[in-house]
Amino acid sequence: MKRLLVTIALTVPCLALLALTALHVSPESFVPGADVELLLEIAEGGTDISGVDVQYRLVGSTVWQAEPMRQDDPASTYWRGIIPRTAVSTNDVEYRFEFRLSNGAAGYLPADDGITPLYVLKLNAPKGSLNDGFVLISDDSSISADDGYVLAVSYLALAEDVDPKSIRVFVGDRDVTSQTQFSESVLMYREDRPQDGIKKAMITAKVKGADVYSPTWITQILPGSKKPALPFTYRGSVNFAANVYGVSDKDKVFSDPDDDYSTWADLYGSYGIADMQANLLVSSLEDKNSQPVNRYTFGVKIPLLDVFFGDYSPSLSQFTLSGKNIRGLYGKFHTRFLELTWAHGESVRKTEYMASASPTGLSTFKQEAIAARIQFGNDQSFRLGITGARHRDIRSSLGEAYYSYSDAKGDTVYTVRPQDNAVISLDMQLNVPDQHFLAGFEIAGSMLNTNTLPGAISVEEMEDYGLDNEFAGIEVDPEDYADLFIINTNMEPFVPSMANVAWNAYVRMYFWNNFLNLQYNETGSAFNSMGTFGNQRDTRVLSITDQFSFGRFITISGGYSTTEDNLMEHKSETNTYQNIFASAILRIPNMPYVKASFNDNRGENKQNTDIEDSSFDPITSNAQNMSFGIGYNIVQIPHVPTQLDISYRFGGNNVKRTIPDSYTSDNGNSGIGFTMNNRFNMIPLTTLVSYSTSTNKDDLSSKENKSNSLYLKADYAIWENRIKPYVSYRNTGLSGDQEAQSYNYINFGVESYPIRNMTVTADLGMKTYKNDDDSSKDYDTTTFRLLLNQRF
Amino acid sequence: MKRILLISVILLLATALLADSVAILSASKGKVSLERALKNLKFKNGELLQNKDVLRTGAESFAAYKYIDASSMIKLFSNSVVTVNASKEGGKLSKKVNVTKGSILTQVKKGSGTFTVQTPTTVASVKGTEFLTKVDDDGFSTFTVTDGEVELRVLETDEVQLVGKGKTGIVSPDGGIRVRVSSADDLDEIQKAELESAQNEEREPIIVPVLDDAGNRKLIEIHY
Repeated sequence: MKRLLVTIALTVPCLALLALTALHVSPESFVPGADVELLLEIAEGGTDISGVDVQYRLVGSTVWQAEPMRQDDPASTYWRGIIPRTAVSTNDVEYRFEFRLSNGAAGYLPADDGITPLYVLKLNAPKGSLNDGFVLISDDSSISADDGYVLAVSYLALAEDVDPKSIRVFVGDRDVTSQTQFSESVLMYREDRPQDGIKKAMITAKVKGADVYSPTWITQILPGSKKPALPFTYRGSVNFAANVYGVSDKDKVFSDPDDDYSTWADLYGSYGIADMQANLLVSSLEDKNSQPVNRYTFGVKIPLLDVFFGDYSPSLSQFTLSGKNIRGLYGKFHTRFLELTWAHGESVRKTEYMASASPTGLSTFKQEAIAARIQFGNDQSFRLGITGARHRDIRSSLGEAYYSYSDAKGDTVYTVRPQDNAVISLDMQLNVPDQHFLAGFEIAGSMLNTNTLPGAISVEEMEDYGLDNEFAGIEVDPEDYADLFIINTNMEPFVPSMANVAWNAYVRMYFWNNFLNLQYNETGSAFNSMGTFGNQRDTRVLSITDQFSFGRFITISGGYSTTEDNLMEHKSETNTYQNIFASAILRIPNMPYVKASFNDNRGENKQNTDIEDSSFDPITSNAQNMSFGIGYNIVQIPHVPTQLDISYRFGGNNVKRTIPDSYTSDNGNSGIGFTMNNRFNMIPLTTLVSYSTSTNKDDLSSKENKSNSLYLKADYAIWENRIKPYVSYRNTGLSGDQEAQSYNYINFGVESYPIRNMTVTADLGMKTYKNDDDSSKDYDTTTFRLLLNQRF
Repeated sequence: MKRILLISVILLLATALLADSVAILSASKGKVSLERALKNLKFKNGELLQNKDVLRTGAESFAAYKYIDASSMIKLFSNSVVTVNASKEGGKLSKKVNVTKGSILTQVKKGSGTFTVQTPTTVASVKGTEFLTKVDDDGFSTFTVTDGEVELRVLETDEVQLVGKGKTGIVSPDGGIRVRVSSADDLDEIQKAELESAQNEEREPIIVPVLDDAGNRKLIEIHY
């Protein structure tokens, strides 16, 4: 088990199910009082990403906090993010990346599979030098929680040289400087009721203008015998954001967004045995006919019970309810041998409404969502679970104009119909932690009613359709069960079959430094689950991935997946897709890291001989991409430590007809990505240069399109890092056999930290679009953003 | 006006110097009081002590404090009265312990600033030493050295005597000084005092939290 907990510093996984290849070299450590900067490269599948968050928490905590990552520019493969300095003190921090795809699906790096370890950051020496002038005078290395925790440090020998304002005290998971009592040459921090466990403490300061830091002092706090005083510990933030837009010519932009304002607050606390969280988001973008933007959540966890009110995204099982937001009540009673879960509330379904015969816009059907699960056993050994979920469109939630219109004859035409969906599943999982082995299986069946407007079918109608209403000798009237599920002639399919079934099986194991993951998935053509994302109907998918790590030096990932549709053989042709990927990162301490990735995608269609189709057109498609990269944190450059990353990628794709033997498309592409981050030692200046170029060549038409993107950013901290003005410039140019166009962005902004734990960011952005071939398309936009963030 | 300003500045500086912390109270059991500027203070372990602070221990009580240069530990046994003194000299701390009554055990590391223990009759200067100081009700000051060497200077006569390891120096109320080999009773007295301070501690079990393979938190209790 211990080996599983070893930090995987280099991870090159392919998020196979999300078709993403992401490369990340973990910094492995953090420095108290400084943001942890993270760089992520999406080598494959970047265009499908709608957003990436870095999620972090203290090791041992169960609550994730998130910071959004930013792409250098829309064409760049680089994403940047930070774990804020307020989140790191002296305790270990673990983190992962959450990817959100445009189709609503989400995934994690490292994979959230119960066996791949998270990235872990450990305390590192801060910048500057170790100074033994800080002397611990409260030197009990082991205390009882009853006695209280005292950190008393003398800096007598440094008293005349240290800048008292520069002293910062870090204890456990936070900066406690403001709670520390200072005298001329001694400081003291006290916690009357500390939590038992290991507590680390450290001090940083400036002595004669140079950065110094103290040794790290470790104290073991043993559980006290006194009754806990139930201290309420809390952390969180209150935020406000405003976006104000200006457009030079509204007709020339794809969208003219309204100004928007939002405020949100997050509170995480614990009181004795109870952990609680409260989240609130209110936005001016809220529209009852669109996807909800406002969010509110209140949750409490005590040892046997979790209860959440408001917005929550429970995951009961893969096929029934997984990751989809429900606004209502969620409760889970859990013991070592039995788990009962209940979720009931409102969910939403995106719909396309029509005011005439053609699609007009998007709207949202509210749904009543109910899900329940009973589970025997637990994740650490064996578990068996039965889950049921139902999603029913609430007819009254949608205005009439959004689901019907009157045609020329004055007849009402229904364009969106309320639906009813039910899924029931059985799952089991065996986990043998000692053998690092995990295997599981889930099978689910679904029912979908595509139009509940007519109500449940009557017994008489059933007889008209020749259906028997007697099951196992019991007469059943669907109208009696309409509250549970509406059965009528709009059932899809009318009579349940294997097409309504989906199942998967997986085996995950760790052996000889390998994390192996095998997964097989079959989804019937009529399987529908409105509580999940990304279930691709009528397909079978086999996926094998492996990640090999050798210490912190090398990680190699590889995998193979094959997808085949037409599972029920109802269609005249069957499409198969195969993907092979491999990637590696090599990092030798104090040397540059080297990375490479390879992706091969092949697809073909085959005729279903059972169905005669003269229009069958056999084609094959191929796409290959390779990338190589090198990166280094060049600390040897005097006064300007520089983080550098360069990558080169190339590949091609084509679609080929086999009868006659000809290409319908044949493209080649290549590109270079370059990013350089400089942190000047002598002055508080940070610069960023990011450049990417790509060329796409169509070999059939000999047309070549080029894209170049340059991003420059500089920030300069003043007034003891409390104000950080910055300026950034981005230029994206498109050239070649396409309209010559350029996008220029200039941003001026300031980040300020006026009071403790408060950040105020103001940003003015100006975008200029120029079309060299058609100047009538030119336009300018301005965007002003304001963000206030107060953490506590 | 200038004089008022000057006096105000001097007073402020003096107050700041007085208010500077020179030691930390690292342990206290039983009846222990802390007096500052003639007022008894409420305190907890870890309290920062200032110049002229007076520590008193009652019957079956114990206290210990450490100077901020971490060079010395002073343990006060039952029925003792001590005044904490220190001053900064060239980045080092010059420490002085005034013992009016009772027994204290002093442990001083070598290489730190000057360290003296003063009783009503004697000043003991030490460098890297462990010794017991006792002032009894009859006014006798006794210094039992278990490690290093102590230089005793009688206040009334300015007579100086060195007391080495394993020896005991006794100064009478009239200034008479006598050095002899420490008797078993002298050493027993240290052990007795240490034992008494230890017995005052509640022997609670040590509870060590551990995680089992399944990640469940378990507690191991160690009784001793």
